[in-house]
Amino acid sequence: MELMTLQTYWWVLISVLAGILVFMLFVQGGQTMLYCNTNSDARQLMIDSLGRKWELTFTTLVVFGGAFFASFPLFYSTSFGGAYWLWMLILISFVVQAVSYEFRMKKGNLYTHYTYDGFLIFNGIAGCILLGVAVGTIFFGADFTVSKTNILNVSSPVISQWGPSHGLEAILSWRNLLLGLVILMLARTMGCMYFINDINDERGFGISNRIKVLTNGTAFALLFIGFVVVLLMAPGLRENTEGQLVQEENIYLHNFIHYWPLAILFVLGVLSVLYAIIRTSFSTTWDRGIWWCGAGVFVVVTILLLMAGLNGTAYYRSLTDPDSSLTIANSSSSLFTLKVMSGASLVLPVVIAYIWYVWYKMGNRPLTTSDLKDSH
Amino acid sequence: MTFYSFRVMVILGSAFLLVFVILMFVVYKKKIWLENKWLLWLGMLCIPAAWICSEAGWIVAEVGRQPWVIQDLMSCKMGISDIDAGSVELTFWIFASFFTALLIAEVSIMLKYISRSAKGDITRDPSGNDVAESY
Repeated sequence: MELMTLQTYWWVLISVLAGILVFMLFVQGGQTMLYCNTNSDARQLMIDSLGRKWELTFTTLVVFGGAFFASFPLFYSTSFGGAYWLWMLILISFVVQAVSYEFRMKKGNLYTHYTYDGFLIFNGIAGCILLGVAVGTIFFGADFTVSKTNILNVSSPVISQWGPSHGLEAILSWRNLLLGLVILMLARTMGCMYFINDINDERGFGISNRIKVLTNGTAFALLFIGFVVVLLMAPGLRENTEGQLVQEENIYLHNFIHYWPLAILFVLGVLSVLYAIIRTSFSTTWDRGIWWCGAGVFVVVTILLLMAGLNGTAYYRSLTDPDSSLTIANSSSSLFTLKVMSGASLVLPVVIAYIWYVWYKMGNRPLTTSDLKDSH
Repeated sequence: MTFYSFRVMVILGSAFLLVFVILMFVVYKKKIWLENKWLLWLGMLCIPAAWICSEAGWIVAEVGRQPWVIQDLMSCKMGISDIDAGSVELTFWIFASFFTALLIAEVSIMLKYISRSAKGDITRDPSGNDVAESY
């Protein structure tokens, strides 16, 4: 197969994984709701419910990161080595999450469950916002330079170099933060929808969650509209026929026009999310919102990532030196590596089917308060 | 360093295989031996030994590979990031402090469970398996 075909294949695969990952962030969103007007029984039900799914989110994050870094290693060396503090904060937030689910209710736990509740809330808020910031640098650029000839510099053979704040400046960029907040509010909305679907509680817990879907969903919708406007007006870089990167205004808008069938799918995805928010908010019995919303989120995020990398677009724009920007053509693994990885990727449907099966087995019966008898 | 680490790793790894075979035999054929003090001590010793084996393996991998990230293709010097030493040191101390705190928590939980198991107050289902606790 041609190198370009394999590069495109892997970008599509990464976009699909990103879509699944953002959907799975309902776990983080649910964690941020632990102390939102809930009593201890409701809180325990929420954690027991999320506890059956958190590892799926974690696994999806690792698969997404692994696939991205393996297929586009120059992105790995530039972003992970450069935006060091941003990625370290993301890593820490997910380490404390894993520990919390393992230790929280164990007998002999020295730090009390409140410490681990704090960790879960930290992961819920920081995990969503910081992942949003990291993805935001893909759309809005970052402060790095790439010079492959540096490898010949004996005293400092470092290809990718970042600004002195090493990722902290990305957190302070309002456009990156906007995407972080969009993801946080989306995750909170999906978290409430998930609780409605997975927990049967007769004491008004469901009604309370429907109100939260309305408030968080409205905040999400407003922030999302703002993000889409900013995105469509954003400039970018596109590779011309001579292989040079050229500045282009409204580059993502042009990509949407170029791939108009995907633009239609994008709109349908957004409508699916809005339908889920509205119907969940105003119905007293409908509990399928998480699936409608999840399907919409998957489609929207996948297409957004496709728009960032296809059509010769630089998916990682350098704000310091435009010529250092990364495209799927200049940052991928070799033809041999991509071929081997593509063969391995054919088992991905098996992995997804397994995850689906585990999900079904773990969640085929909604939790009720009677499940709490062994919790305390 | 690599010389001794490699031998520690291989000797302990082989010893674990032997212990595994012995315990399989005891569990299926000589259950009465499960009460033997020396056998229980052998099991206890395997806990720190597994950690030593794992660390020895890492030393073999990371010291033994020097100076290459990829043999004859890419040196470790070429694989470094553009991060100052102070940032790396700070990260090290953050993780060292955090994981030490977690180690204390984990040891406390382990001791509690060993104590509960000795008193026989861990809940088991009809098949004899431990009942999963809440998150």
